[in-house]
Amino acid sequence: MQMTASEVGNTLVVVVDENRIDAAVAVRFKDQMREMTEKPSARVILDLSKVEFLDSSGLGAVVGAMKQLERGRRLDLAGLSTTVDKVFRMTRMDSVFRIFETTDHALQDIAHAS
Amino acid sequence: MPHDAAMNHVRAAPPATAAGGVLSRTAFRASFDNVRLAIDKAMLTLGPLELTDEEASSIQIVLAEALNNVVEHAYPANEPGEVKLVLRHGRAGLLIEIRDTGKPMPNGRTPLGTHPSESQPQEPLPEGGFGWFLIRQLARDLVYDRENGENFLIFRMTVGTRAPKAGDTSVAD
Repeated sequence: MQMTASEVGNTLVVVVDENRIDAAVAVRFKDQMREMTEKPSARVILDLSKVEFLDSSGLGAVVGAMKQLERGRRLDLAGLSTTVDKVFRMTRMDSVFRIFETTDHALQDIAHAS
Repeated sequence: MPHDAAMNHVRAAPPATAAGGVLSRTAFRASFDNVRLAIDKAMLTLGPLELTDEEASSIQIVLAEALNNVVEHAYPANEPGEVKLVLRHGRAGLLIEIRDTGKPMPNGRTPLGTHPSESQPQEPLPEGGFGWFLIRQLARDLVYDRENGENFLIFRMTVGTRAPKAGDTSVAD
C-alpha cells in the first residue's frame, strides 16, 4: 500500500495514498502501520483525505492500528471523506478517535493544547 | 426486526411489480479485487439514477460488505467459486441479489448484526463484527435462502424512488 510518513515535531503524520482501505488491503494496512509507528512519537495523525472508501475491514484495521500503539500514544484521524465518515459514524467508532477536517487542523490543535 | 424468510424455509421471490427491470447481471470469481471491480461497475450502471452522495455511499458500503462476505466465507481460499450479482430498479427502490454456490450460512440464517458493543461487550475497541451491523443498518427487506446448493441473498436499498417526471416511460414490470 502506498503510505508516506513524516515527522512534524513530536507528531508522526501518516498519509495514505490509496483510494480504498477495504478487505483487499486491510491486513497490509495494519502491518504497514505497525512498521511506520515503531519509532516512538506521542501522537500519530492518520491522513485519510485520499481515501474515498473504507469498509468494515478497513475500519477494523484502523482500530487495530490504534491498538498497536503503546499506551499514551494517540491516533487521530484527518480528512474523512463522505463514505469513510459515514462508516465511522454509523458504527459509532467516531467517538473512539479525534477526527479533524485536515492534517493542518489536527496539527494546529496541538499548538492550542495546554 | 427484518424478517428472514430462511427461518420459514420459504423460497423467497422479490415482489414482481415493485422489483422493476434488471439493470445489470454480472458474474465473477470470488476475490476481493473482483469485488472492487464489481462495485465500480455497479456504480457506473447506477449513474442514470442520479443518486445522491449519501445514497451512493450506502450502496457501495452494503455491496462491499455482502460481496466480501462471500469471498471470505463461502468458498475455500484456494478454490474461489463464482459470485453472481443482479441489480434491479423499480418503484420499491434498488433490489440487489447476490448468489453463490459456496457453503451455507451458519445455522442456515444471516447473522443478526448486533453492534460489537453488544456482541463483544468485553472489548472496548472491537476490530471485527461491523460487517453485518452495517448491512442491517442500510439494507431493507433482507432475505437469505438456499436451494440446490446455491446461496441466495436479496435486499432492497431505498434509493431512486423519486416519482418519475412527466413523459418518463420507464415502468416497473
